Amino acid sequence: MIRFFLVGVLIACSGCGTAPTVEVDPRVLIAPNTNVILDRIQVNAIGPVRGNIRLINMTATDLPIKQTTTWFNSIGQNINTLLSRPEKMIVPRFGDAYVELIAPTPDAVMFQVRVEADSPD
Amino acid sequence: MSKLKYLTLALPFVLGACAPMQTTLIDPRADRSAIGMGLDSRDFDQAASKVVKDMLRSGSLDKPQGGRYVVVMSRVSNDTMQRIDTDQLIKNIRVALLNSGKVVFTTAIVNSARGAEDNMSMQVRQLRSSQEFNQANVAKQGQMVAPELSLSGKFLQNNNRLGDGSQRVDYSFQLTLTDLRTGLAFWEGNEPISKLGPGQTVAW
Repeated sequence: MIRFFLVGVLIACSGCGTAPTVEVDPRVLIAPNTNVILDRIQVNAIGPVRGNIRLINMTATDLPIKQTTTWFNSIGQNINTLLSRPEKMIVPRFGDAYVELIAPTPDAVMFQVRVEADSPD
Repeated sequence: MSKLKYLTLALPFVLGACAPMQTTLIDPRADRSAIGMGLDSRDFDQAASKVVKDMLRSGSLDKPQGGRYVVVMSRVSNDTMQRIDTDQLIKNIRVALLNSGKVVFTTAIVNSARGAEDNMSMQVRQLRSSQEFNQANVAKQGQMVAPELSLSGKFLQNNNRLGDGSQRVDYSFQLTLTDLRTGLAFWEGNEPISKLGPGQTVAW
């Protein structure tokens, strides 16, 4: 009985040892099966909001993705802007890609980035 | 007789294949339709978005003494093999720049054979001599604001046949922001759009 328990503990520990740390931020939504990981998000909120988001690809294939950044004003209303149109990009194999954030209007204070796999229906 | 039977059997399939595709509304935010070798609105949006971000990030639109720059839209030429109304792209850029709060565009300058973008600015000045109009609302002399910056650009296309029989089309959208007082380019942007597709596809 104890032997089985010890074997179980060993398997559980080895599984935990290799798990990559994944950044979680409510402002970045990554759709399931996209296979990219949010590495870090840097935002400068002094003056107009600007910053960038680093996405990484740990797989051996290039990943075409589409990112959409939605901007909101201080009372949570959606700002209709060209900078909220979907942007296609490729995260190269074992590489990274950056989503650039620049407030489209002086009243844009919040944003949400959606990342999904880019594949035609 | 047997030929007739086969023809009768095949007819519904032929007719079925000719059934028209159902029309659907496309939301740009959830547009998953296939792409072609030519340029479509998605390419225009993406290129416009990138140059606007680049321009805003560069700081070239931040007026040192505060306020907004007055910008005039100059010529944007199309050197691609496609018939492109450059206004489709330029309007997106203008709207985004105007909303940024850093610039304001003038539409009163004559910059093409078609005249000014909005001729009304000049036409309403003819009302100065009319007794029918209350002159309080009529524009006085010296009220128009001259532009400080000019935005000009060019679309380019380069087709290449690759060794494996495929075709690569490189489009390039170039934009220049010129200070009209000195003639110096404050900012320049070049946004490439590259596409790879089958060799038999025609890109125009």
